[in-house]
Amino acid sequence: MKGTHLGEFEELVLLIVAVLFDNAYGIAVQEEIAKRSGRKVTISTVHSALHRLDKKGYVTSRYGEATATRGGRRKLLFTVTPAGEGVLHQSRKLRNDLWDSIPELAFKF
Amino acid sequence: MSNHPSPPDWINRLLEAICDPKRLEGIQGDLAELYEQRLEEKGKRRANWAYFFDALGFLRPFAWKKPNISTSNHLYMFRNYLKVGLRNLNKHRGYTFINMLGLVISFTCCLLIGLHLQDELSFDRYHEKQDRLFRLANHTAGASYENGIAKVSEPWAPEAKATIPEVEDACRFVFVGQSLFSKGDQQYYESGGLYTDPSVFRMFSWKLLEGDPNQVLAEPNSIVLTQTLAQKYFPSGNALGESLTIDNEKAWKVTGIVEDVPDNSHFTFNFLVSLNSYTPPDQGDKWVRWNQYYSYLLLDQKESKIVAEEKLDQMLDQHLEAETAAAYTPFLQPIASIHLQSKLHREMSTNGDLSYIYIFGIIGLFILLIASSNFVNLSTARATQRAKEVGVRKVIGANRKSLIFQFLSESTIVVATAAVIAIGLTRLLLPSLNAFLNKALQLDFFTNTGLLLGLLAMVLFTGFLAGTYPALVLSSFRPIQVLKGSGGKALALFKRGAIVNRGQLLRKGLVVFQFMIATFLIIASLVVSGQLKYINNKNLGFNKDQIINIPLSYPIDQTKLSTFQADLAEMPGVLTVSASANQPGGSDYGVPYEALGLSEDQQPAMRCLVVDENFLDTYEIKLASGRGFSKEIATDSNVYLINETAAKQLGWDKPVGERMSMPAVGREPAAIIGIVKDFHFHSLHEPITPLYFFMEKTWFSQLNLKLDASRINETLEAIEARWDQFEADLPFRYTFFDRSFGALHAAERRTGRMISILTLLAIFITALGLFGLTTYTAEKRTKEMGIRKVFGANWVDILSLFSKEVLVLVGIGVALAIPVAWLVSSNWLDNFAYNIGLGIGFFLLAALLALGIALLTVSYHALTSARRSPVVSIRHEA
Repeated sequence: MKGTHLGEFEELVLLIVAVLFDNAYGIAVQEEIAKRSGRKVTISTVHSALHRLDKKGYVTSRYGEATATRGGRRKLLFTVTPAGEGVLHQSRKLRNDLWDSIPELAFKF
Repeated sequence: MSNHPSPPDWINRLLEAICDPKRLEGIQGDLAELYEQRLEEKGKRRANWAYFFDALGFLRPFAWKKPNISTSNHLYMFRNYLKVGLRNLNKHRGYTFINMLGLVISFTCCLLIGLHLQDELSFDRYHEKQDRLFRLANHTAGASYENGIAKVSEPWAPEAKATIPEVEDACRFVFVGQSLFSKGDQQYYESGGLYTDPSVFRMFSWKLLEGDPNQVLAEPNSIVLTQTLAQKYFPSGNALGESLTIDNEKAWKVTGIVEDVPDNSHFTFNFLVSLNSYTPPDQGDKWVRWNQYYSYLLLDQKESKIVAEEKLDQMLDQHLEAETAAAYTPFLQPIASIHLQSKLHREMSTNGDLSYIYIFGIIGLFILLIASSNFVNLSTARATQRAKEVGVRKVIGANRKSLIFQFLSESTIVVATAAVIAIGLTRLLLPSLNAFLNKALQLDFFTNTGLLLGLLAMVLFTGFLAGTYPALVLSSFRPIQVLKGSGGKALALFKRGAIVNRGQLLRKGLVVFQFMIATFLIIASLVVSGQLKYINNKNLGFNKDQIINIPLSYPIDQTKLSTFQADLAEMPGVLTVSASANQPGGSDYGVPYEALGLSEDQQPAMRCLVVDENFLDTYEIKLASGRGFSKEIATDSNVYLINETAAKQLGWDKPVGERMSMPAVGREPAAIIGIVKDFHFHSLHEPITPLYFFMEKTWFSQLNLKLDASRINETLEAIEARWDQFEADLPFRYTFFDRSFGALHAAERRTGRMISILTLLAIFITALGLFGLTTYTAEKRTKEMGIRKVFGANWVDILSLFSKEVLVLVGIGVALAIPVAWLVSSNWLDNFAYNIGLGIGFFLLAALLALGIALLTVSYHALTSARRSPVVSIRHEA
């Protein structure tokens, strides 16, 4: 394991998995990323990020119900684990702390 | 045809092979979902590509099956093999180039040939019921056509459907002939029309876009247009229910629109009209006369063919006179076999030929084998140079298996690269091939799984074939011996020599093999082109040049026609004018006749040409005895001319003056006034058959004009100007006779050219391989040549040293090729009733060519070695 650092893209994906809650599978995540951030990523990139998050223990995966579309294949659904929630909080706290510590003068141009 | 497009199957299988099974379903599902979306938005082609690239994205380690730790070393080793392999290819760029070039050429040839063959074999297989669809044809004992005729008389098919339980459905087609379509002020000639029964869309799988498949042709005067034709006349759409006037006579109601007929059909059409509006001429017994109906039967199962044929025979027994029924043998042809295997009289369109399929398949294989032989030769020849690498690898701990794997993967990489380049080249060349073959072939690996698998098989086969031998030889080197190198003990040298000798034997064998194939191809293409030249230049017995044919419309106004003819005859550029109903190489008729005073078996089946008094002059057909038709003698409209073959086969001693009649068309007995010298009125495939001429003005349907070669263009303009007074309503049309007659041999001419091109390529690849091989030998023997020169050898000695061995090998190849080539070419020539025969010249020329090419290839290196200063060559380190 290469550590537990959360990359920028991984954070985005993790947040979106949380947003989508019960329906977070590859395409839904891909579309949500496009909708929210305007970033176009390929489906394999999404899968690769989800895989890394899985390895780090921030998400778990399970198969959903069989569907009529998708050639009858089930969706691989992801959910955020408590560890995932923890790391999101941590990252948010870091940012908040940093924002709070910016001197007022810094953004006076 | 699949109703719903699905992503290419092979990509899914690839994913299955690579991906972690735990994720596979999710990945494939996501891909499928995206595919569905794109299919709707962008269409099938784009969706296929996007699917491919998306799937490509998953070929990353994260998605892979989790390997066992022990095998992961393979990956690193493979990386090393790749690196060393590429360095090696780069170091010997010349060899790499020769190998690649040969492989690319042969793969491209194989791909193009494969596409062509695939198309030829796919004919008529798109009909859903193709395995149960049969064409009803008839064989008549004693007829002038041997194989039988493709069409039958009117009542046969409907009666078969009514009385034979195995026949589920029946459908007939009759040619419409060229017709003038008018809609508003739009007027065009359209060809490719067929009269047909309403059952057509129940039996055949042409897709009806508009209209009710069961009803479209039920009403008289209904017409079904193809999409192309519908768009031409009704560009705004809504063709259904509109009407079109044909030949300025009847109005036809458009009741349906059908998708254009696929090119891979043994016949096509541009429009269909209802058969119940067709009135055949009354010629007596409907069961025997007017056999213009191409009849197709749908059987309940394909195994019923034999039973159905028997019952058809019994059906004829009931309806025909005993004598005729005995002569007729009806038979059924599976629809998918017609294009390649049927060679009946009056096929609906020119068919392909199964033997050409074999020829091209074999040539493709040959070229592939030649290129692979080059590969094997060059790799084994250079094997010793890599002996040290093998030795080091073995010392470090490589086992034989991994070395074999190394060399096999190396050769597969080379072959795969060549295949990729070949795909690009094929794409580039495909339009030219399509123009040449008059086809619309496409290279699309997504839908054409067969071709993709074929290509993969070809790559693996060639890679394996070319890699195995070097892999086995190289991996068997003993490290101590090779590492001690050339300066080592005698034993080591001896052992290495043995290995090299073993390689040499194989190399020699392959050179013999290559030149055998090359010589075979040279002989074959010489024979084919010789025969074609013979056909082109053969004295046909008449002159086919500078004649144009102008079709006339029916019915003919005789007075108007004769003034038109007279006017044409006066034009300075027109030499002769003749009217006729048919022409040599066209549709001669088989109207029954009676020769007075002869018994049945003295009267052979005869074809006839219906002509006027100028016909013989126009085509420069010579008279053997008697006289031709004359304008001055009024009774000449009743009399007959026959050809020499007819004169021989008819039972008279002196045919001129004897009488014959044609009771079927109401012609009274009249004299035979002359005998015409034999000429080829059919293609040279067929021998000259008995033929007779008579004059029947009402049958005339065309004019034949012999033009002055020096001013053809002005004359054609003048004729066109004059035509408007003759037939103001109809556009002026004409064809050059030599061109339509030439079409009889178009298939051979095309095949001939393809064989020549492929032969040239095969020779080129062979020479390329030999060149590479001599490069190697010359380099190895540089020092030797230097020493020989010091001792006084001149360039002739050195050239003979180099070429002696090669010439022996090529000689053996030639000797082996000759008997095979002789068998094959004499078989092919037997297809022609008139052929050049197999002279010894072909074989001599081919042998000289093969030896010459070999000598030329070798002499380059021989001469460079001979000219190099001994000081340089002796210093050379091999």
